[in-house]
Amino acid sequence: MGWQRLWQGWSALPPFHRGWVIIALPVLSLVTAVGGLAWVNFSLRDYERWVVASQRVHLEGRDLLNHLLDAETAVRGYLLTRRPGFLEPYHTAVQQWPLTLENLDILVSDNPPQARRVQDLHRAVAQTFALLERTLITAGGQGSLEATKQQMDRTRALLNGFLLEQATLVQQRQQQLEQRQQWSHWLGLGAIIVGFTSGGLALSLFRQLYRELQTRESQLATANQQLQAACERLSRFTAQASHELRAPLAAILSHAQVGVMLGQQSPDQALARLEKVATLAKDMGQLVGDLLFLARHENAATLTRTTRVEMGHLLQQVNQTWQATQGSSHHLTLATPEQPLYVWGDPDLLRQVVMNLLSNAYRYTPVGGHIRLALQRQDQQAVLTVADDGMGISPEALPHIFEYFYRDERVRQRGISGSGLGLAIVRQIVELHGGTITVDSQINQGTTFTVRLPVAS
Amino acid sequence: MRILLVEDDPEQREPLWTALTHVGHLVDGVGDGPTAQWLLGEKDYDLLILDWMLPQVSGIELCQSYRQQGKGAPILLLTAKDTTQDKVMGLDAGADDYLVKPVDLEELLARVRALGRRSPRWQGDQLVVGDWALDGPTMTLRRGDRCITLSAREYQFLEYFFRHPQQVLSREQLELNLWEWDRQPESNAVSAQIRRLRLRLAELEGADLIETVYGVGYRLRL
Repeated sequence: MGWQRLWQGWSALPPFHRGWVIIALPVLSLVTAVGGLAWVNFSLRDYERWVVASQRVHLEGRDLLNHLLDAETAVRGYLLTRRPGFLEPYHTAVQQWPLTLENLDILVSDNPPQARRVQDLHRAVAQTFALLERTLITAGGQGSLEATKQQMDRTRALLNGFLLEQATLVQQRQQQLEQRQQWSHWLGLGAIIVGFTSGGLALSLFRQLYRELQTRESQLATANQQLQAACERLSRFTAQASHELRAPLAAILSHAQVGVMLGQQSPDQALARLEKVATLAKDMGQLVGDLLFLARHENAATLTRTTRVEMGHLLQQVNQTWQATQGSSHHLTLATPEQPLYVWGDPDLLRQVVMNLLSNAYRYTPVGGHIRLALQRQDQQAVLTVADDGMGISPEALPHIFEYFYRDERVRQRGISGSGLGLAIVRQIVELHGGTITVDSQINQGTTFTVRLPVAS
Repeated sequence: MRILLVEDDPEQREPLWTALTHVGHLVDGVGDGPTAQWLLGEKDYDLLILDWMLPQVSGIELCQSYRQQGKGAPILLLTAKDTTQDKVMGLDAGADDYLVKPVDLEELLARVRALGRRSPRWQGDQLVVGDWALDGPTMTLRRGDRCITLSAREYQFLEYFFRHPQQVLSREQLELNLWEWDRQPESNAVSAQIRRLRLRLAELEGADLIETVYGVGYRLRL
């Protein structure tokens, strides 16, 4: 869940910010790894210096011990042989021991216990050499040899203690150094793993972002095409609508002006013109109504108010209204199923579908012709058919009859009126209800429109 | 004037025809391109009023083919297309004027008069021959300071003679140019009309303005 939420949050970020994160990931891990490794390297060098210093302390201590032994051996040899040549190591040791102790002082300055021991050694070594000098002056008399030997043993014990302590220290520091070296190996390995992981992560995020941008680009291109097509449709529609609206308007204006022009001489003419104007204005009102209907429902994805409509009942109502208003110029028959057949929809719009199809059938069927209105259920569909035995539609006109303002040339020539919007409205309503409309027609045989609507469960 | 009016919508054609006829023009009103093309080959017109969108042959095509035949009568294009591009296209095809529907009849008649005046015989709205002046907008005939008002039919006849002064016009020629294309005149219709015209001209002491050239036809004498 946590990962999913993180991923959602990440996907919701704008591409610009995601780009920054993708660049920052490998850069940050590189900087961290390099910094960490440099720090480890520096601290390792410190430890190494420390270990070397400890080893030098040990060596200086051994030197001091050697000076003491050389001096004692030289004094003893001289006292036995009285040859001055034997005293040479003694003189060398006398010159060297302060220097050696001074070195030790410096080397153990960071270690207070050892520094104290060096101070003790300082005193002990100074006493030892003072005793050796007295032994030489007294030529080994007055028990000086014995005192020297005792002092020597104490100093050696002190020095040994110091060296033992130093050896322990060296061992400890070497262990620490090895530990640090191991750490640095692990750290290096970790840096490599983190580097590869963050690099891989950045790469995969980049690919995902790239793919997303590509998808967006293609979606935009598609949307653009759709918009262009819609714009073209709209401009075609506007041009057609402007033409279709201007035509009746031009006729109305001309009739009215001719009526005014002739009115004084012939009131009958004026009256006839006025009647024409009224008829034309009524037709134009119908046209404007149709256009407004199409505009209102053009982009409606779904219906705003729907109820369960019993189609059989609706057809019976339409049939009664039609018979009452249109009289019996044609033979109209109605066939509905016994079982009620419900669909989801707007009853007013569905009524308009039937009325438009019926009105077409009447218009294109000669007086005395037959019109059959039928409803039946096929699987999950309510199938409504309006069939006539009228003039039919030519095969060239058939693919265009649902287009706005389309009117068959044969119909124009016969002077049958109509705006060319009725079937466009029918199709729009049927599609709004999730249905389909098809047509089957043969010239001079008749036309059948079939509307299929999904049945309401 | 003899006018060819081509408009496919009868509801628009009829009132225009009535108005143009009422003001003294002789108008052939047709509803499709092919009939118009045939008429243009058969008759001479003083003015063509064409709708742009016609079935089969468009007004623009009619205009182009008419001009290609080298004929020069003015053409007035009548259309619902109202963009500048459309107007340019219409004028480029050879039209002399362009009116967007719905058309105000007064404006249409004024433009028809304006296009008619392009004939060199017109002085303003008057067609002048000798001391006779025929006034288009009022359909009156003036000689000196006397004046009579003519009927549309009288005006049509007289205008045709005034356009062709001193030219012998045969009976067939008069029938062809002074009757609408789809109406067949009676055998004595031309002479009856000339007789009526002479009676009107007598009011201005000019009964002999139109003389008979025996066996040939009639002539406007100056």
